[in-house]
Amino acid sequence: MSLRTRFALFFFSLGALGVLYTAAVLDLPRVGHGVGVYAATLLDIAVEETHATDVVTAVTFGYRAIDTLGEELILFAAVIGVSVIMRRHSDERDATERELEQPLMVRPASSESDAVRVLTAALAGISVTFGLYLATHGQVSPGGGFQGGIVLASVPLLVYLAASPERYFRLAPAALLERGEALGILAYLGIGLAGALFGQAFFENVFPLGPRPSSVVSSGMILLLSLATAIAVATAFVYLLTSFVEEALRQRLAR
Amino acid sequence: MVALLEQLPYLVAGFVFGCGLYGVVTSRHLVHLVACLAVVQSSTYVILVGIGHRKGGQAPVFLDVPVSTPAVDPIVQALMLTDIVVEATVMALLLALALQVHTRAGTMDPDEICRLRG
Amino acid sequence: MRDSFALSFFQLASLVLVALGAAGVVSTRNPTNQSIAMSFYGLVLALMFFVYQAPDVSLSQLVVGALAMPLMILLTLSKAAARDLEKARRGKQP
Repeated sequence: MSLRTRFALFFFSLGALGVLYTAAVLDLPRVGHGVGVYAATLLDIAVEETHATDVVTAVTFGYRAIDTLGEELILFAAVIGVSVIMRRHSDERDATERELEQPLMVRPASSESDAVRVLTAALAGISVTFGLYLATHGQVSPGGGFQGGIVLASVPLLVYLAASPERYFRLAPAALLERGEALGILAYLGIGLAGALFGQAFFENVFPLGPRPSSVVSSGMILLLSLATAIAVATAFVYLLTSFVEEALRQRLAR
Repeated sequence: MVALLEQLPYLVAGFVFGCGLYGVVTSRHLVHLVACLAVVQSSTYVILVGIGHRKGGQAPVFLDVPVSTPAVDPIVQALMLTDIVVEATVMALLLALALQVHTRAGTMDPDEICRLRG
Repeated sequence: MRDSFALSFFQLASLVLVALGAAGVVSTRNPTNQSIAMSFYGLVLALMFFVYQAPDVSLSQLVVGALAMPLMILLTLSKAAARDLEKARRGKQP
């Protein structure tokens, strides 16, 4: 298909889509005046029922925990997929084995700039604290397992920029990442099955709900699932980044 | 005219979708194509924001306000969270695939790859 | 009419910024430059989520869109360049 045919087809179908889309948009309820019965009901009862003041986290890890299980499994499948696709090519294996013969200690720091090293070293500690805060306070204030997990996932990257590659690999070795990811997913499933063990539904909140909604240790299953998700998501993202980082590291050494 | 301005989230979502799709069709580099796909996927965030918005609503977090204050839709926000995770993972897989295509075909240009197949 | 308008000035402005950001990302053809544009676009999206009263979504979008995605793009480009280099070196050897 030549370029001109491709463009003609594209603009024609985009025009048709645009006309239909605008007609549909003008027919929708006005922005801000939408009707959502599920949402209205949840906003009334969620805080009292789950003792979680952040209703979005209560929905993600409480009422729709089974959808978040699907999301976790998507992340898991992506990690498996990337690690399979990025496995070392047979051509690369000779090159990398040659470079790995160099002793680890002579490898230089990742960045020659003092400003980068100081800034990332200072930010790494703050990021760990903030990530742990987000992961554990998801049910009272904006945050949650996913947000805390990805902030924690950025910490090994900051360490890589602040120090040297071997510190990065010491902080996040592949074995630890694989086990952490598996632990996160199994913990999530196990907490869900606890509902079945107590004779109720899968992902039913059978854990103690805590004294009142504004306390941090409250909402039972929501806090536990949040922590499991934080572990799973942090290790998954660090694993994804590591698969890509290893090649950048070898390229620097070759220079 | 005001009706169109009120539905601005939906219109912006359509515009972003069209932009991203144009980028995909006219792309000459596989990584550029993946980034344009990310833009197409981000148009769904804007649509969801438009659907979930409630006039005068605040964030659905009731730590320091009474439960009866009007809030925006929390379920649509949970959908947006899932959408963001899915975008990140799909992009990671697509980038890994683009890398494999580059290794096997020697080029990152979508048009060149089709021609090489011959 | 004015009092029933549901969107504030900041919300409208953030939508306009999102539209401009998307056009900017698509029109940047060089992938290395595009990753910077993507990072800025992720930030603009996070800002839009914030003014639309979605703090949880804004937090995750901030790290994913402004950090993880451009990083993965840059690392893919670097890996592709390394393989090109290796192939060239292999080609030079008899």
